[in-house]
Amino acid sequence: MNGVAISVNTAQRLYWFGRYIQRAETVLCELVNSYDYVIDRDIDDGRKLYAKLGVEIDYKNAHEFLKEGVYGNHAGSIESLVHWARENAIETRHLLDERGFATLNKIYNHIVAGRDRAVSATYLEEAIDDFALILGIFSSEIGRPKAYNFIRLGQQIERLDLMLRLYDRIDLVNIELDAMNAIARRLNRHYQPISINSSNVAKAFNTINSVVDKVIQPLGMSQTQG
Amino acid sequence: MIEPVCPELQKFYDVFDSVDQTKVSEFKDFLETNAVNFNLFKEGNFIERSFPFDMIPRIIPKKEFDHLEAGIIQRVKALNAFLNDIYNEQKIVNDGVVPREYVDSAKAFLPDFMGVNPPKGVRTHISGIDLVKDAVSNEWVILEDNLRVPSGVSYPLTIRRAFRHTYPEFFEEMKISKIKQYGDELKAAMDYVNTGGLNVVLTPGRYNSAYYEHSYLAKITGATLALGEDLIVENDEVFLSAYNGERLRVGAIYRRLDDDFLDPEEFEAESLIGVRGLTRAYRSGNVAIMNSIGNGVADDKGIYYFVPQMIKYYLDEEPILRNAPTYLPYYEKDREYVLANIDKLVIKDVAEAGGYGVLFGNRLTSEKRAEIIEMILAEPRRWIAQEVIEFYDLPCMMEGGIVPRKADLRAYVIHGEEISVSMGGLTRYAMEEGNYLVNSSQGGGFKDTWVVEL
Repeated sequence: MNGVAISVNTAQRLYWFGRYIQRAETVLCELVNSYDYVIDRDIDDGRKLYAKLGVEIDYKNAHEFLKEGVYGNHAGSIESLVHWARENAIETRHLLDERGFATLNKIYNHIVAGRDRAVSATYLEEAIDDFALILGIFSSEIGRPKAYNFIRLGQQIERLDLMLRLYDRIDLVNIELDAMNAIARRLNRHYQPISINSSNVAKAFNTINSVVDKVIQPLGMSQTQG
Repeated sequence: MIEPVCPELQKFYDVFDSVDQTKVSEFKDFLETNAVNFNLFKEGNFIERSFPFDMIPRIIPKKEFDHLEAGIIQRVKALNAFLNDIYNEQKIVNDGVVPREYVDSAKAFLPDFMGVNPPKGVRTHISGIDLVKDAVSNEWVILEDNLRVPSGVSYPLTIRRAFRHTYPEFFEEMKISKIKQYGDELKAAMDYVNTGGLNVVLTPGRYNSAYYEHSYLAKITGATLALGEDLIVENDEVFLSAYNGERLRVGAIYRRLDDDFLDPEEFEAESLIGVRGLTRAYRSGNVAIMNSIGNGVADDKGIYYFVPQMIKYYLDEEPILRNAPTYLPYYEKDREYVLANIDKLVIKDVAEAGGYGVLFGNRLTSEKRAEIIEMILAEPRRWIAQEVIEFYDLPCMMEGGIVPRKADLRAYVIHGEEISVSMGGLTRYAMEEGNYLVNSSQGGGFKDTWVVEL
């Protein structure tokens, strides 16, 4: 038997790559939208946004808000999200599309190089497009390898997570649950689809975030294939 | 001294004159955007860095390369035969061709592996043979054999693709040997020795200087890239712990870590990057390890001295390529010569690699020279001395224009069912003028190597 088999470590890296890419893209979109609000409509809009992500930030004006959003010393900063997306991509790049990897690396290089400069909102809009490109590459329906399904699983779980976190939308989560269950089932035939029956957001969070443990099972079944 | 321009190199310059030279900067962008890195550790810090690249390739005329290829294949055949012999009957020692004390005292010789034979008798699956071109004789000289974990092949393979895309003109107008089949050849070599199961590239992980290469090789061979913790040994068989709880049998492992770290049960007990029990599986013949365990005895800098004799002994042939003139202070006659001429020689510590432990006698202070002499007298087996080879500089494009830099060549050899030499290789050059140390770990850069037929 030969061909690419996926280890526990690699599966987890691919999954987290998908999550971080999705999170970076969504937070970036929200950051640029909020920036527009902070300029002249609601200076606290940025604080409210990051509070939903569990992060407390401080700024005096729109420029500072943007800087804090991109380079702030917190887990929700764009720099941090891109860093972790890239770390996971580096460890799985042998399975990734080269253009997708290079696009992410280009974003990373740009962000690192700009640390001492004012943040350009125009560049951030370009980066949103680049993230959309990356997500598109790994969502392509044609000839999609198994590795990409881990990325899609991560991406899908992150989407559901953010729907709850940012918008409190359990109804939307329910609509999209089938797609996530289908990916999980494709990866592990023993996976039992989940459903969300309550309106309790915290419970829904836990249910969604536990899916990966049902798909990637390091010490689960011990079947041997020759 | 810069290598004279051959017609093939002249052809390169002619084509270069006609292309858009502003596109040269695209190579740097390409390497940075794609994180084609050779990382460094400096003062305990991990530094990600692109491998510096010079776009003027080393050009070797096809006829000249054919000669090199024959010599390299001959050498690898002899080295593989030596390893098979030394871990079995040791005929070469018993016949007095290689002194027993040289084998027994080689740090990388593993007597515990006597009688352990790898699948199909192949031990030197992937070799990196380092050569320079002597400016005095105009001949290629072997500097070193790397039979453990030679790195670097991914860089010319990666840049060749970028080169073709940036400047197709060279490939349209020149007959340049292709190297892209390297991945297929490596896969075939893995399949040849595979004992049934997956092919795996075993990496120490993301913080290894050559991690880019590990990842690249997994990609081009379709092998599974694994960390030590991804593999488990049960009943002397190796399995990949797959994401869904299954265990998949592994038949061949291209390991990219040294023997010392390979198996905490057998070697360094503290190793966190190895696979516990791997050597048991290897001993039982249940897995092929590429390159084989214990190969270091054959690329020991002291054993290097005997390779020409090995060629005669095992193959009954005259060596096609010559060694650099080498002296072993272990022998009294050689020791006397070395001590009397230390200021003219290069002194190498046999335990070191990557350009470390290399001392040029003419650059030593009298105190340092005395210190080295004392060390040689105390541990003669630890040192070799070589005549300084005045090897050619190659033209390199730097900020100040085209400048000469010392450069070597690492040729890559795959030993599967057949032995093949990649029709190119990694040319490494020193960053500073007059520096003879070209190693990547010493901050050197690289060039592609083109084998060209007019």
